[in-house]
Amino acid sequence: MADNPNTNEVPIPPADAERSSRSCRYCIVGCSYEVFKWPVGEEGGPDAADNALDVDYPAGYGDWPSPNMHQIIEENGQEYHVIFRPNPDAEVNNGSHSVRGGTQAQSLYSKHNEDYDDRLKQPQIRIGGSLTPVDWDTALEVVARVTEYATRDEPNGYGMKMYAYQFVENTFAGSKLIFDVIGSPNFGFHNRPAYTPESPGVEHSGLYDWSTSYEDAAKAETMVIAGGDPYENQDVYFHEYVDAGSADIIQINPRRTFTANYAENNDGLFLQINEATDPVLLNAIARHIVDQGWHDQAFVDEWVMDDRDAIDEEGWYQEEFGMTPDEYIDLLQSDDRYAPENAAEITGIDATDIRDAAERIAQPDSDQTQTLFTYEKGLIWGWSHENTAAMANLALLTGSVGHEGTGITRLGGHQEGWWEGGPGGEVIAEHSTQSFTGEHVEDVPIPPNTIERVRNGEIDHWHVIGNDPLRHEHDTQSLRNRVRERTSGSQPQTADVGDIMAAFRERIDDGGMVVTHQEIYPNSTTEYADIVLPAKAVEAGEDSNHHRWNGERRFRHYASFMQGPPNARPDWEIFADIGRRLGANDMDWESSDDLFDHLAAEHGDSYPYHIEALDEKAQQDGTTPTEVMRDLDADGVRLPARLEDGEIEGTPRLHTPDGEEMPGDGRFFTDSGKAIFMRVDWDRVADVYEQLTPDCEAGELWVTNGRLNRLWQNMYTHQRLEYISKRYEQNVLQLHPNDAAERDIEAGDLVEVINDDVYNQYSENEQGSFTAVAYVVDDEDAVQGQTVPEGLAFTYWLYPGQVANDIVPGYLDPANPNPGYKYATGRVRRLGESDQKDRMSFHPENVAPE
Amino acid sequence: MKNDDGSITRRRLLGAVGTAGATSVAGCGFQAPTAENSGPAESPSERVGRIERYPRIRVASVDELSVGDTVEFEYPLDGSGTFLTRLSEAANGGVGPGDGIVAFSNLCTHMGCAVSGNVESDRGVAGPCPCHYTTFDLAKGGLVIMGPATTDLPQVRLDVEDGDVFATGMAGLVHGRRNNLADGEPVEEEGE
Repeated sequence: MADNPNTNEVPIPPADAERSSRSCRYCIVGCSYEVFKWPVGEEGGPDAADNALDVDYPAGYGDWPSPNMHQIIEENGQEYHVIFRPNPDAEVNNGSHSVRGGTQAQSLYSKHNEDYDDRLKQPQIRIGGSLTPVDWDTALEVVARVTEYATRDEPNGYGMKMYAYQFVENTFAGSKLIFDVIGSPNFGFHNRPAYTPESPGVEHSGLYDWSTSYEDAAKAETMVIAGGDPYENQDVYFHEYVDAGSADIIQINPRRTFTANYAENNDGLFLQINEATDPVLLNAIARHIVDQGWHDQAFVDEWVMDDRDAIDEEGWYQEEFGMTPDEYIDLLQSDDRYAPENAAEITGIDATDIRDAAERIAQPDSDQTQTLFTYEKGLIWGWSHENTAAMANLALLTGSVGHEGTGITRLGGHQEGWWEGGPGGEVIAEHSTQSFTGEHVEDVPIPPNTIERVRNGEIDHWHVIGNDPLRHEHDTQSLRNRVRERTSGSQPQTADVGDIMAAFRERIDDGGMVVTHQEIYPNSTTEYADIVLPAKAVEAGEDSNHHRWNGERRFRHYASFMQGPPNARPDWEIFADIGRRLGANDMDWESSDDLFDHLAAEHGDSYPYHIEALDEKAQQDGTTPTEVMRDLDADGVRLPARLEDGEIEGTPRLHTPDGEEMPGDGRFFTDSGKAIFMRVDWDRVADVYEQLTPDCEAGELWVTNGRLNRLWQNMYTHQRLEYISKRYEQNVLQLHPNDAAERDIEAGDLVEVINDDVYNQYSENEQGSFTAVAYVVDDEDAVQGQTVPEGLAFTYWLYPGQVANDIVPGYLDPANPNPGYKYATGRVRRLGESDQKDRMSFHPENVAPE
Repeated sequence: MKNDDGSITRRRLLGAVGTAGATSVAGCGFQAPTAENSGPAESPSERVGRIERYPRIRVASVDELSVGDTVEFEYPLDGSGTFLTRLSEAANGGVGPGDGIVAFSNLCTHMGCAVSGNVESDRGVAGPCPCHYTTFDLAKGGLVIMGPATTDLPQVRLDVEDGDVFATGMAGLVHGRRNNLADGEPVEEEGE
């Protein structure tokens, strides 16, 4: 019955405790927290007047700081209590929290926390085969010089793999380094191998993929959730907005999750789709809407482009995929696979349910629909164009954008903080070695797949920041084998810069590669790194102030409140130092505040997140943009921001009919201001679908992957926190009892998932495998149905050491090279009994209130 | 959304809970974790201080407990709602026949709503909590199966003497408390 050993008492902050405001370090919802800090030895009283929480103890609903919201840190020999309390007055969360946000105090840099020993605390270089501590000057000089050597002939020899989420200060400085200082096109985001949009079908239609307000979920009458699960992944959004509203939910998912049962229990629909067939379902829904005349013809006439030439002029992507309304409707009606009865054969969803969904979406009895479309990785990391374009088409077809309770938005993973610091598009156009030829365009340069360029030798110095591509990417077992080969050449033998560079030059000359890893904890990629640069966890409040936004574009100030590892540095500072060593003369920011003020003043118009008004407000008031943001406190401002009557005003939702809030002239992000239907043709992916489909006769299953509620991304903190990790001490594989029985597998057995032929469109298919604990729910206990259907297994996507991506196919959309991470297959075999047999809880996780 | 009879569904009612204070929550599952609802003390010095040790109280007779039975009681302070139940399986910290008798705090550790109305002893779970749907595994020490609670459900330490089940302590901090033994009156021990 042991719990976290710290759970028996929580101190009360005294009334004069230091208070700061920040948002959660984890998911996209971006809940607001108040941070209280005070010296150990002092304590407040249980009456509200005597404590900083303004709470009378015992604390009531939503007022209680739980034990996992408290920790003790040490700075300069003084110990301080820190409490992270969900902000009861914040618009986003109203004092609520998820298990992730509610435990973030347990990953502060503190010797009392379980992750303390693992934090990277000083620069290291692999010398004689072992990572060895060195000083910052040596480490950064080597990074700069190996970059110079790798790019001596052309800039493509340097590749960067960097987060999109880690605050505008860091992403601005990092992208400036690669695009402006170095000029390489070989940039990959943390979750994909290229500088590509995640929702190409949405963005190229003129819609933005974060265009709604959270309140729209509470005001919608129908809410479509496809390839996402807000209860699992965006808890507070689910509770505060979805559950608080009255929308009929249409949940589209191969798995019967909590949200699927919640939908059915609350007059909604659960469409349990066959894996990877979403475009057929979404097109079938659209076809039925058109066949019934339920589409919003007036909206289409006014707001959707019908001039073929004008569509072509929008860009090569629109020329290839854009359609006039007539072309789009003809596509729907001329292909009988999209007739509901035929679509039912492919998708596994009854034609009656397809028609029902179409009617709920189109709301033919209403003048204006109240339908909200939401989606996430189940669509994004599949057929990324077809899945996202089909959703955008439905929103446009029914005119469901720009009004309360309507719109299209991602549900999201992490918060967002991408701010381009250099001419990425120009660099790619000039230097990319990857191009696309389609039905209507030929040999257009596109963002290069950097993972392929790591494999094929184009990248000689791979700079990885804040992610773990050897676990995050597709076909990772094969990738690790290749990286092992390319980093196993000549090794430095001393810490002398000249000796190190001699070894690295020899390795590169022999076809090898040097890996620099800039991180806060070691991970799979660190095992292959030559240079390790320890970063501050600025998302946890270390060192300096930063800014980023959540899933409704709510831009907020993250105030620093602690030092962190003394010899680590914030990422922006590391980028600036490298940049200066490479000759940059405009990366001499004195602080993160200085950098942000510069960004707001000189680069405030990064599509579509306009923040120029912050600088205007600062000039008006004689302050700085940083101070303007600090004053906006917990609620910040929803971007784009503008100045009205001397005050900062935000934008609740994009694509409103008057378009006043938009930075351009129109309602949508096109030159004309009108939106564009996108071609969604099953034939474009049908052949690959056939190749990826598991061979049932050979015992193969679909093995899809995704998030589990309490685990955050690659578990960089959670793998080290006992309270979080004890729920799943190993990776799990959800199996249907029949599939388990056929393989003599019981709950708690250790199983291996093997794919003997991992699809790779660029090279030979190779083998991949990983292990997990079988999570099999007794039929009697599955009171609202089994989560996974027969023929499909599900696993956590980024469990350390048990890596689902090791079997993920290397299929990337030729026009927009994003991987189909969700579409893995494998055969499952029992290895033996795991130590989790009697420790792990195997109850269903999908039981929703009835 | 309304039921056919015009009443507001639970979903809508709970939706209101999410943005309301404790007062409006009280009718739909929230249980204020205090014996002081008659009004707060005027100063800390007037509050009941921290008691020295957990009280030991008799809760039930083993012979009278069948699988699925649930007994609600207060522990360790007056007003601190707890429940005892008998599971069909052996449990961490369980006592009695097959080590299946367990007891837990009634308050979800997420926001303090009461879970005792959602105990399914035959399945060994408490939940989904009526407010934000956390479900706890009663055989695994109150482990969170699913949901946003940030600690396990606090478990009451039990022992059995002469056929009776006694509560003797708690593992884990009860929702709303800075310390399980502070800011309230201890329940009365037998013989006191």
